[in-house]
This record gives sequence, structure tokens and C-alpha cells, in this order.
Amino acid sequence: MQFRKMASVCTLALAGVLAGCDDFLSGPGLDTDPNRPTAAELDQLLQAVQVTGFVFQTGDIARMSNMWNQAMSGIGRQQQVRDAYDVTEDDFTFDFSRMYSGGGLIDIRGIQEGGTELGDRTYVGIAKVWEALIFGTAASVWGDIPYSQAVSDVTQPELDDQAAVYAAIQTLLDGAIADLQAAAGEGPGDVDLVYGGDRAKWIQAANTLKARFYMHWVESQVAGSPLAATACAGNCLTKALAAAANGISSPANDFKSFHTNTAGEQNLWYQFMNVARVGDMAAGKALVDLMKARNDPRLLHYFEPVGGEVLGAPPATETAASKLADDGRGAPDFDQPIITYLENQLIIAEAHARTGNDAAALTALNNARTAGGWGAPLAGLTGAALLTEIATEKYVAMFQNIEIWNDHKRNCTPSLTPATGAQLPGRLFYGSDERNANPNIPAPGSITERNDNDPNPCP
Amino acid sequence: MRTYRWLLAALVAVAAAPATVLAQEPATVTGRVTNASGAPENAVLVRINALNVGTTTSADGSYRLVVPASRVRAGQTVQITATRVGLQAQSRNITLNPGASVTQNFQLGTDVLELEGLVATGVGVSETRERLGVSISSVKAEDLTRVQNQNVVNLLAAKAPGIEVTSTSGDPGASASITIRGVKTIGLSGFPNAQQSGQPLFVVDGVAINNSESVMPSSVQYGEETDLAGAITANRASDINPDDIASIEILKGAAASAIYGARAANGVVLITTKSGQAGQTRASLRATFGWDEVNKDVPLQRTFGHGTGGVNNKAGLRSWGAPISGPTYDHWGELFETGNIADLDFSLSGGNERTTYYLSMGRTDHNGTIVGDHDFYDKTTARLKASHEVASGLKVSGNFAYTDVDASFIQKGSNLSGLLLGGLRTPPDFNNHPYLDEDGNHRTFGGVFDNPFFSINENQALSQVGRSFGNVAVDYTPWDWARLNYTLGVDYSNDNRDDVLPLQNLTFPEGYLGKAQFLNKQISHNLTGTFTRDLSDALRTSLTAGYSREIRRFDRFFVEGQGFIAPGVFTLNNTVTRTPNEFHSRIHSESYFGQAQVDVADQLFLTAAVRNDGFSTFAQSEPRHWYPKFSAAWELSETLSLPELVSFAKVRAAWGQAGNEPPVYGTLDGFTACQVDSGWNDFLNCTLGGSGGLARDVLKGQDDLKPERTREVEAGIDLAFLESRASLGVTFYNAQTDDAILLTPLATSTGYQLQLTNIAEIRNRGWEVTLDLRPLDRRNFVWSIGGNWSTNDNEVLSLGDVDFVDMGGFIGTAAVVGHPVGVMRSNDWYRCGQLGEGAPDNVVSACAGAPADAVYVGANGQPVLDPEVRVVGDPSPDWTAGIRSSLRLFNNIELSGLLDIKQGGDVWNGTAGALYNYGTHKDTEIRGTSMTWSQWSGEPTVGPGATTAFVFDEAWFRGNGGGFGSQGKQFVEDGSYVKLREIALDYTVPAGYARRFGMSSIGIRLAGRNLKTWTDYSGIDPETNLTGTSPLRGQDYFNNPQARNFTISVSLTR
Repeated sequence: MQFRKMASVCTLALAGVLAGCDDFLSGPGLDTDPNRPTAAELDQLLQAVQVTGFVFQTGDIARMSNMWNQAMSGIGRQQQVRDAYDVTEDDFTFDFSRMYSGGGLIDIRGIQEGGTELGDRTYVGIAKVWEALIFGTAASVWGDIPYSQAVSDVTQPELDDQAAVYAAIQTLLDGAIADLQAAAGEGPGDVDLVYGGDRAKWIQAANTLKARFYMHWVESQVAGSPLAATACAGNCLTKALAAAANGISSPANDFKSFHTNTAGEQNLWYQFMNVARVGDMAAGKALVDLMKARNDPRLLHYFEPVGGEVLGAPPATETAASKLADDGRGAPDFDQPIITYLENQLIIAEAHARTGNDAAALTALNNARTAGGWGAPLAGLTGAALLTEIATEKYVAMFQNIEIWNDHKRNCTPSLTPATGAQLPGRLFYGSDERNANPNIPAPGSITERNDNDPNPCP
Repeated sequence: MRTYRWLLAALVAVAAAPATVLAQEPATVTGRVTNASGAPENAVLVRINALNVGTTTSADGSYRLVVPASRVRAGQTVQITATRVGLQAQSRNITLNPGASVTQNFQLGTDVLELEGLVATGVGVSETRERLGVSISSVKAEDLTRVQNQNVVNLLAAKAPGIEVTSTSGDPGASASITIRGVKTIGLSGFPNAQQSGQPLFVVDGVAINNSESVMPSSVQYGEETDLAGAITANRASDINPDDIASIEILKGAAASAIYGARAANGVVLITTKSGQAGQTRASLRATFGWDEVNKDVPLQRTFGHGTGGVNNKAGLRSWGAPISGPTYDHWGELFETGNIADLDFSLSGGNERTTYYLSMGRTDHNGTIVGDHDFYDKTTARLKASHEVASGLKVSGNFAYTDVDASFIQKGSNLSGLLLGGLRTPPDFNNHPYLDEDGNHRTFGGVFDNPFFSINENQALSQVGRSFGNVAVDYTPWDWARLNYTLGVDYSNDNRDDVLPLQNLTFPEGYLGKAQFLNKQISHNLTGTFTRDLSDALRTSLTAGYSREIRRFDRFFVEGQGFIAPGVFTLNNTVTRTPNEFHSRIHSESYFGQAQVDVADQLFLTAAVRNDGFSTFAQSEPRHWYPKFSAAWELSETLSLPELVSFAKVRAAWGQAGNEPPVYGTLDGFTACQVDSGWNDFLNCTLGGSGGLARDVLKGQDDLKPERTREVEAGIDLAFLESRASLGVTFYNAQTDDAILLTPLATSTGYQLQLTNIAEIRNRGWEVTLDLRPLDRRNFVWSIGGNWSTNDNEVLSLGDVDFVDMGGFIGTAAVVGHPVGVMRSNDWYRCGQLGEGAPDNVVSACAGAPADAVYVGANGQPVLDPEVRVVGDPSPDWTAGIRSSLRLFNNIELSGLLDIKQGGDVWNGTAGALYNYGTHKDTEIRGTSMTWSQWSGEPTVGPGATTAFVFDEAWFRGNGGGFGSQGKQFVEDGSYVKLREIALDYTVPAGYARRFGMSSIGIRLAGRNLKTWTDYSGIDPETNLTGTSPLRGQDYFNNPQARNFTISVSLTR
């Protein structure tokens, strides 16, 4: 009986030991994930944000913008089809999704919150400029987008009007400039692949960006739409000039992507043209012919000659044509310009030309030409001829940038014949992943439908 | 041979040992056990419970039971009982005297229904079959070893109703999938270690074990955890030696499996291993030798050569050239040979009244059917199970098994380096020999696919598994009405894999190395108490209460190296770039359970049970879940006066719930290292510039994640007729699964893209019938026949907001509302019965009055593609059946067979589709022939070209007439089969003759598995599935073929 009692006690004790630990179902590896960290430092988030931003700015949207504006041409496989405006909502789903999810807005907001907590307004300011760059660009190519309700508790964010997004972006940039001017906090330092944490350069980029987004509404303002006043909170041209005055002051301060010769760090244009999709895309005939006719000094920096000559392909045509210059725009370690001194000067030039201040416009144009490698300055241009010259120069200067499309929508220079149909594409389709899960997103219509800031098709 | 001799020596030595133990004056009981017809019955347990001694009969039915002198009182009367599954138990009183010998013979009646047999019902509880309120299928040891196959899952095929077993392929060591009462979950493709494969829980001796199939996340298989490419992998239950298994119980429905809670919705396979019996030492040795070969071919053409447009051209990849004038090659036959199997199993068991043991060793060497010695699976197992009664009522036991697997597989599937993908696409006029030219360079017909002999001889896919599993238990019976048990279970396995594609392979010409280590560790503690109390003779009760705690740990280390620096050295150090892909998971669970049983007047049996589970993977919002069950069985024959014909009748009904646990870490948000791709394979790593980045994972943690829950009702009747010479069991069940987990897309503007959500609903309902007959039961001639039949109707009732969810695979395998899980979605021709709203008016008008399966044919005679994607196939069978029969002559010859029948169940013959395109399929031999669509397909046609013939040419087969066109429906074939799954002829050497060799029994067996398959399927055996145990079924795309085997075995028992 003694033994029996002992054994029973032992059994109960064992049960007690087993049932004793209350936290058996929680602890490291149980309610945390050994495969994924549950928190990230600001530096790590910024790293993801800028890599995502570089891909957003210099990846597929930039390639589409350059194809559709005939600076490039789709000469094979899917790109040939896409160049003929035969696209679906699946074509844009990666970019549409990435601007919100990991590396996009959710992490940008994470930096802003973390920076605010730490009192590091430098970090907050830089994150706001990134947000403005990505969502201003998004509003320019998609028009109305989910923004005010994005990355919140709302499970199906509504579309904001394009003009409202622009207005919010301008406010955001003002806040960014104020944060950066406060000079509080260490910021990211060398982790910042664009400016190495230099606040002054970030302030300049923010101003050029403000000027860019004001210019996007000039066509709407000219057409008399009240939306322009919403987007610019005033006269778009005046505002653009004011912002550009504090914009990027020299080519050394350009906002560029960062690349090296290492795999996974190379210029996306190089990867696309030389590694991933060889033979699918080439120089566009419109740009090549224009540069040749003008004897543009950048021709061989842009394109690699085929058989001794740079050749451009007509839109969506399978033909032998130049690829990007191996030592120039197509080099694996070429840092793609995203916001530049050239753009800033050409904004000043265009804004002055549109307000009748031809002398100031010509000065700015010549500043841009000097930076672009041209020799002697131009003189004596006025009126419409001056505006056309500015727009033409900008078409060449904005090569590979998404702005080439925004500029062309406004200026219609040079004159381009659509690859198919009567009109050039007006905007991108919303991503299919977003539409599948968000009933606020309309089904894709025609690719030639236009945004509010671009009421008129090019003649 | 050396092993064999060593085992024989061991056998003789150990068999001689017991003689020296007993030297006092014991009492001896001897006798013989025969069945109703007088034939001897072996393996009958003869026991004197009061004295705790027992033994089993040998092949001639004889037994000898020695009662130690210390336990014998002169003139003592005790009850001696003879029992065996399948026979009616019998007890007799005998009187013992020290030094005296008693003879007691038994003649036992047949018990077809096996009412007396104990059935394990889970958590250490057993119940006699007559009292069960749920349907539990049992498979006995002798039915698991009749034919040679090392995967216990394969051995269950056709042996119980309601289960569907599909072997991945005939490769030695290939996995096998078992689906019980239909699919109740929708796979989560690409989710590592998810429990949504639909496979049941495997429990060995009360301890849950790992039956996962771990797929390498390598680039060769698209980085996804599916088996579309790469080499086959094993399901880990195949590590069990089938010879160690005493019995298997299959808990099919939620009502039976509820006691296993959140891991039991897909059913539970309870495996009980063999134990030693007190009494004389038994040693047995079985040696098996056999051969296997491919059982069905893919037909190929040998008329037209390498080229295109009827013109020879050696540069291309296809066989649309001119008629061949020179030699042609058999590109199917050249790849295969007769494989061989050698299997040796040795066991030693015995013990005395306080200690019993079972020791076994097994070794299998299987060299498969692909030419050469690179497809092999060698398995070595050892097990020691022993128990000792430390003091009265206190028993300790241990059960330890070790398995070592050394295997080598051949690349398969959608894989440029796979065996059949390149092999069957080879033009008939291209000689695949030699695969290396004089300079040692890889010789292929088009420079795109590996030469199949390169794939066999140079590519490698190796697996080295070490696994130890078992348990230690303490069993304490302080009073005869109370029993306490504590079991500590451990299961540890390590699988080291190497995938090598050496220099010159054509998937990664610079060379590829995938190295993986899969570590799986499970530790479980189980504490149960069982208390019985007879309130009166007519009212008996028992109560079981238990607590269990489980720790499961999985670690995957995977590194992929690309670009070998030096040839022939397959280490990661010798590669240019390396990409790691680790995954780790920890799951803890803690459960309480209780079960109460009430027997009223020995005819009404009521059971109620409940389990409460807490898992670390459940969301905090609901950290614990309940799983109740009730069942009732009423033995009508005790009360009602039934016709004399009916000797037993029982009705039963049950209701229960069981769960399927959610994937690990599905409740958590996280950050990931990132690689940002523009969509065209140009990308930037988040380590750009040398600083590491972290991005928010696109998967949003689900705050309400819970297990999938199945609620099931079943009811049935069990009848026995003609003094138990016939029995019939019928069961109906209806199971509704709620909260099935889907990976739901989120609006990307929320900052996330995906979230696990308990949203889908699936219903399974069906009928199961078993029928057993023993029409002839004479002394020298016994014929028994039995069968099972079942049908399951599976339907996805809801998927939340969406109409279908893609599950991966080739032909748009999906869950579609209103259809069974895993249907195939693709395009079809415009078919009159299935025109959608978008069908053009001319098609609609042409279809007026036409049969539903009529195809709309355009003016050129060709059928017109309907752009609407719809359900075109269903891999779930309409019904399945197993028929087994045995004939026993003169008590020593037995012929037994098992037919496996599957009716319905589509298989996508992607292999044929691709070979149509390549022009190597036999069907493409008709090229150039002109005929109408109706003549080609046998389908009725409508439309302007219904009677217009067109030329079946290269353009047609490379377009919509082939597998790379959009019309996938034409390659969906009926996968029905009738298969001679098992056949065996046993001969038992007469006992006297055996004794002359010092053996109690010698048996010789000829056996075959899958010897014959009858099917209309045009490709390899329709029992095939490229994706193993995943929920994707019916995928045939250059999968390695199925095999049949023939074996001879000799068994010696002493």
C-alpha cells in the first residue's frame, strides 16, 4: 500500500510538473517567428524603401513611358506587344502593389513614425520626400489612387481624386522641407544611397519635386479647370517657379539611383536589355532621328551603334536597332537620374516661357544645354519657337525617366504617331491584385483614357 | 549472404537459450487450436489471465504453456482463454498441479465480423468491435506483409472503404498519399510546412509521428515547395518497417478521431507495433527476393524523324521531319530494366510472465526499374520493444526503433534535367547513346534537354535519412478499476539531401548543387487515467481522462550553389554563388481530454468524449478549442428476435468534431530581407550598397487564425448472417468542414497583399460498405471472399468572396465553388452543353438541339476554342472498391488476391499533350491524314465544318491540337482502373518436416504487387501523381512510371 501511495504521489507530481508551466504555448519561436524579424531599424527600412523606390522609378513604368513616347521601342516578344498598347491590368500589378506594401508606403510610414519617436526629423524629412516622389509619380501615371486611406485600418481604401493627391503631396513636401531645415537628428548618413544623408541636397530635391508636380497641372490650368487650383493651391506656373528657385542647384546634386557592377545591384536598364530580356527592346526611332538631326552630343552616351550607326526602331516593330550604350546609359553601374538639375532648369525655362518671360526662359534653357553637353548657347529664340525648343530639349534630357511621358502629355513635343490607333496612351491600368481585393477600383477601360491633369490628347 | 548467415547463427543461439531457464517443477499445458473445419490455426493467443502467462500457437496449431512452479498451487482451477482476431474467443477451466501436464484443445468458430477483436480507438483506449459506435477499419499484420512494398501507406490500398491511396510513382522510396473520406482542406501552395496537405495524422503506439514530405525549395523546382520537378521524396511514415506492425486502425471520420482534436480532421492512422508474448521464444526469419518492372508504357512513334515541316533538320527540337529511312531507337524501352528487391526480416520475441520483448531487424535493398544503379532505396531498421513488470501492477516498457535510409533518385517531371521530359521528346532517329561524345561533352538532340542517360548517370538526387523514434511508458494499475499510464514519445529524423546537376547539364549548364538538411523532432508527453466501475451487472461504466503535451520542431537548412569551379567536386565550397533558404518552426501544443463510456445490459454502448486543445499556432483571440463527440451502438440481436438467418445485428450512430491545425506563424506580422523585381527578372537586392534592408512581409498576420473544423455525422449498421459466415457493414457519413484556411488576397493599398483566413467550407458525404463471406469452409478447403466499396461526394460550398482559388499545378488545379476540391480548370472547345454568356450567336444557333457534348467546328473543319476557362476535370473518383479473396487447401496452401478498383477520377495526361507538340507521340503518326473532327475525337460535332475534313499536321498539333495550346480539356483522361493489387501463393511445409530442420514452421510464398492493371488511360499507370502527398492530384507530366513486382520469400519460424 505504501508503494501504491508513493506511485500515486509521483504520478500526481509528474502531472503537476507538466501542467505547471503556464507559458508553454508562448515564448521565442512560438509567438515570435524565427524566420522573420518582428521589428526593423530605420536604416533597414530606408534600405528597403530606396531599393523599392529605385525599382519603381527606373523599372517597368519607366520602360513603358519611354516606349510609349518612342524614345525606346519594343522589338521582340512581350515588349513588342506592350509597345502596341496591348496591355492588361496584370502588366502593372507589381508596381501598383509595391508602392504600398513592403519597401513602399507601409515602410515609409514606419520610418516617419520611428523617426518622430526618436526626434530624428532628418529621417522623417527624407522619408517624406520618398513618399512624395513615389505617390506623385503614381498620381501622374494612374490618376486617382488610394492615398488618404491607404496603409490604415481601412481594408478597402477608396480612390482619392488626382488633384487631391497632388495637393496632399505638396503639403507633404512642405513638411519634409521643414523637417529637414530643422536639422534635428543624425539621419541615415551613408545608408542613404542618394545623398549620404545631406539635408541641403534633400531640400533641393524636394523643391524640384514640388516644381515638377506643379508643372503637371499646367495643361489643366490652361484648359481652365478648377482642379488645377486644387492641385497647386494657386497658380501652378508661379508656384513652380518659386519652388524651382530653391531646386537642385547643380548636376552634382542630382537625385540618382545607386548601382554597382555586382549582380543584384546593377542598373535595371542594363539588366533588362543585356541579361533578362535580351533583344526585346531597342532605341526608339523618334528619339534617335531627333538626336541625329540636331547633332545631339549625347547620342553615343545614350545608344550603342549597330554597324557603325545608331539606329532607332519604329514603335512595336521587330527590326535591328541600337541598344543602350554599353559605356553610358546601359552600363551596369550607371546611376539613373531621377530628379536633376537639368529638369529643374528646364522647368524654370518652360514656366518663364509660358508666362512670357522669354529672356529668363532662354537663360535657363542655356543652363540646361550647358549641363547637357551642348556647345554654344542658343540666342534669339522667343515665343512658341522657344517653348518648342525647351520641350524638345526636355524630351531628350528626360530620356529613361517617367517624366518623359508627363512632359509629352503636356507639351506634345515632338510630334509622335501612335503605334496603333489615333492616340498615345493616357494612363496605366490599376494593378489586378488591387482590383481583385478592392471593389473601389474600376475595371480597366481604354488605354487612351486620360487623367484630370491631362484633359487634351496630343494633336 | 554474409548477413544471412549471421542472422541464422543468431536465430539458432537465441532459440536454444530458453531451455536452460526452467528447472523447477512447473505445470505444463499443451494443446492444439483448430477452427470450425478442424484446420489448425496459428498465432492464436492462449492465456491464463489469473496467472499472467500466455503463448501463441505455431503453424500446426499447437501450443505449450509452462506455468512456473512459484505460481502453481496444487489442484488450482484456472480459466484458460484462446483468442485471435477473426476467431470467436473461447475459455475453458483447467486444473493445474505442479509437475503435471494438462492437455486442452480448442476449436474456435469463425468471427467474420471480428466482434471480439480489440480495436484501438485512440489515446491508449481499446474497445471490442461489437461495442464500437463509429466505423473504424482495421488492417492486420498478415495483410501488410503479403506482398513487398516498404511504404506502409501503399500497403493500405484497397484494404478499407473510404480511403484512397495513390503512390507517387514506381521509384523505390516514392511517397504515397492517403485521402480518407475525401479532401477536407485546400492546399496552401508555397507555404512551408503547412498542415494543409490533407494527409491524416499517424500515431504509432500512442505517439504521434511525423509523416511529412519535405520538398527542396530549389530553383530546379521553381523555388516552390511542390513536387512539379526535382526528384521524388518520401513521406516519412515509410520509415516504419511494415514487418514490425501488428495492426493498423484507421479512424476515418471526425466522430472517431475527435479524441485527437486539432490534428485529426483528415483522419488518424493508428499503428500498433508487435509485442513479445510470455512463453516460448519465437524467432522468425523471412528472406524475400524479387523483381520489378515498369507496368505501363507511353506509346511513341518511330516513323518520322528529327525535323520540321516534313523536312529533316537536326537543329530543332521536334520530330516533324521526313519518314525515317535509317535506324530508329526505342526511347521508352531503353530507359528501363528489371529492377531487383532483396528484403530480409528477422525477429525474436518472447518473455516470461513479468518481462516480454520483441526485437526485430530488417533490411531492404531495392534497385528500381530505371537502367543502371542510380535509382535505389536501401532501408535498414531495428526495433526493440520490451516491457517489465517491476512490481505488482507497475509495468515499465520501452519501444525504440531506428531506421536508416540510403536512397538515390532520378530527376522527374517538369524539368529540363528530368528523365522522361528529354527522353520521350527525343526524335526516334536520334541515338541517345553515347550520352557523352569522344571529348566528354554532353550529347543531346537539340541542346535544350538533358540526354536521359546523362540524367540517369550524371545528375544526382540523394537522400540519407536517420530516424529514431519510440517511447518509454509507465503503466500503473493501483486497483483493478484504475489504470494510469504515462508515455514519453520521441521522434527524431534527419534527412540529408543532395541534388547535383553537374557541369554541362542543361538546366544550369554551369552546374547546380542543392544541399538540404531537414531536421524533424517531436516530443510528446501523454498521461492518461482509465477508471472502470460496474454500477450493476447491467450497467458498466468507464472513464478515461488525459493530458498531453507536444513539442514539434522542424528545421530546414537549404543552400543552393550555382556554377561549379572544378568539375566533379559537389560541395558548396566549389560553387561560384550560394543562396541559402532556411526555415524553422516550433509548435507547442497542450491538450486535455476525457471520454466516458456506458454499457447498458451488454447491448447499448454509449460513448461521449471531449478534447480541449491549445496550440501555439492558434490566434490569441481564441487560444483553445473544443472537440466533442458522442456515439451510440445498439446490439439489436440481444433484444429483438431477428430471423434465424441473422446472427448479429447492430445499429450505430455518431457525431463528432475534429480539426486541422493552421500553418505555423500565420498569426504574425514580420519583416523580410528583400529582393525587388521589376517583373521581368531584373531586380535589386535590398543589400544594395552593402547595407542590409528589411521590408514588411506582404503576409499580414491573422489575429483570428484558428484550426479548420470538421463536423461529422455518421450512422451505420453491422450484420452477421448464417452463424457468422457472412457479414455486412454499411455506413453513411456527412462531414461539413468550416473555417478551411485560404490565403486571401488583400487590397495592396493596405500595405499587405495576403492573409490566411478561415473562410472556406467543404462538404464530404458518402457511403461505405463492407461485405465478407466464407462460402466454403471445409476441412481441406476454405474459400473466403470479401470486399469494400465506398463513394464520396466532395463539394466546395464556399470560398468567401471568390468563386475559385488556384491551387497550383499545371492544369489550373483549383478549388471552385460547387465542385470538388482540386478540379482542373482549362479551356475547352465551344461545347454545346456548356456555352457561356459570351458565346457568339452563330455558335449558339448551331448548337440548337445538339447533344450537350457536341463540339462547334469552324468552316475549316477544326473545332473552335472557347476562350472561357472552366472546370474540365475532376481527380476525385466516383467510387472505389477493394475485393479480396483467399482459397486455402489442405491447410497448407493458400492463394490470396486483392483487386483495387477505382471508378472515375480524372488524370491530366500532360505527357501526351507535350509529346503531341513534339511529334514523338504514337498518335502523331497519323500526320498528314485528313479527317473530320468527329472521326478523330469520336465527339459529335455541329457548325459549318462539321463534315469538313482537315489535315492533322504539325501546325495542328503544335497549336490547339497539342498540349502547349490553350485547350487542356482534350488531355484530361478518365483515370479509372482495376488493378490486381496483390496476389500471393503460400505454401507451408508440413510441421513434421519443418521440425527436422529445427523449425516450428517453414513457409514459402510467391507474391506479386500491381501485376496487372486494366485501364483505358493512354499514358503510364493512372495511379500516378507528380506532386506526391500535396492536395494536387491527377498530375501526369513526365512523371516516372509506376512499377509492378514479383517476389519469392521463404520464412522460417522457430
